Amino acid sequence: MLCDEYKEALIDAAALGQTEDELAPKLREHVDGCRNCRLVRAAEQSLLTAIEEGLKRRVRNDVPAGFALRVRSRTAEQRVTSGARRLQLQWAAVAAAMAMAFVVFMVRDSLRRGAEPSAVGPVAVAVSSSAGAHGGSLSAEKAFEGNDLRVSPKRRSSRRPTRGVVEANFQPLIPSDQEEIVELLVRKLRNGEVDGRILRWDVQPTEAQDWNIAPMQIEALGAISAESGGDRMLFDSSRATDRRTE
Amino acid sequence: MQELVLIQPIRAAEDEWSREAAQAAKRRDFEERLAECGPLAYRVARGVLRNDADAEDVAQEALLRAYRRFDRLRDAQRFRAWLVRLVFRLALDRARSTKRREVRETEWARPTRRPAPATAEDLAASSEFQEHFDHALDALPDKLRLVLLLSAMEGHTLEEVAAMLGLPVGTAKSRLFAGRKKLAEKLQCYVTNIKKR
Repeated sequence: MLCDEYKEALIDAAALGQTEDELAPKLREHVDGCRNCRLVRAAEQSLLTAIEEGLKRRVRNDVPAGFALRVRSRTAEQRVTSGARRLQLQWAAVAAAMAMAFVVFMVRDSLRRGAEPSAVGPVAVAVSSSAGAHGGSLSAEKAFEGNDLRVSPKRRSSRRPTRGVVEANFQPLIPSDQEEIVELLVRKLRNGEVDGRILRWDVQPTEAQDWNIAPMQIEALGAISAESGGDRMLFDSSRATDRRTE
Repeated sequence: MQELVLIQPIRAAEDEWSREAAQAAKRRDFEERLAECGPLAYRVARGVLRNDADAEDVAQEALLRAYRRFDRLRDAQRFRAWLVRLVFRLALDRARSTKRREVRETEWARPTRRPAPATAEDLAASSEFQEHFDHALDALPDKLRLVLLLSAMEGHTLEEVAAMLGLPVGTAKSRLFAGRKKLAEKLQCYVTNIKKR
């Protein structure tokens, strides 16, 4: 075998850090008898030694003074930062929980209103009367006979228009002869044509006599959605009436 | 007689105390790991970067990340292995970006070639050899380079290097051999000078 063919084996042996005794017998026999290969082996070993030295030089460097201290200060900074961040996150979580609770409450409330209109808290319909001019105003009393709501005109001496409030835990009722105007007023209310949320609805009572109001669900007029912002709805027809007059 | 009133609800206070105790324990454990592995992190970074300031920066960054994830890395062996790999990766990233910057800024300033040293010892210690050696080492595949650097550190046996890298000893050994051989092949031009001695 030629010397060149041993060279690779000699490099391998040097890379493995093999001593003379650890060389393969055939290689050792050749190296023992070949001066050139002995030189090559010595050179390869020197090169590997130089490589090892170079590697050690690369990693031998001492850690700079104060290195651990600087790491500690950075971890302390990290703790402070993360603590502040945790606090921010906690506040954000509280705010989010409150917002969620509010949304859930609102959704449940609106669902309850939509699903069970009769279960809505007292629905108030203000029946304002300029009946003072006619010497009377309205008072309301509940009549739990069917769907009727009896509203009795009540004489009053005051000239100031008074406002009678019909509160009921059920659908408010509108007098049949007032349906048209109430419908108009509610539409105006919903369209925002009337300022505020109060409609005053004039009732012109006939002579002091009780009159029955024909039941008419306000829902049919769309008032349920109009009053969804609260549990009271007051009809103020004065402006609307004025507008209608206009 | 004074009365102390605990305003905080007991449960919340207990939670707070236990959290603080856990934090204190974490800090203590991390201090231990820092004393044990801090120098190793620095040396690995220095081995890749050949620059003290960059090496410290990278080692600090790695230790900071280790601190953040310390809850999952309490085991010493696992911590060490994870840290070594992280430092090596960060150092490689830093080295690449530095190299790009250097190429951009000093492309015109190529080093002048110095005369070859007379003896093998001189050769090994010469700045020219070191420069070529550094280039050859930097050009090695990462997995070979890391094994070479860790093996060159004092006190690391091949078994420890293998454990640090999560490798079988045989794999670490073959990588060490392959790394040395590739370096020797890249630096063969110096063998001629040595033979002339």
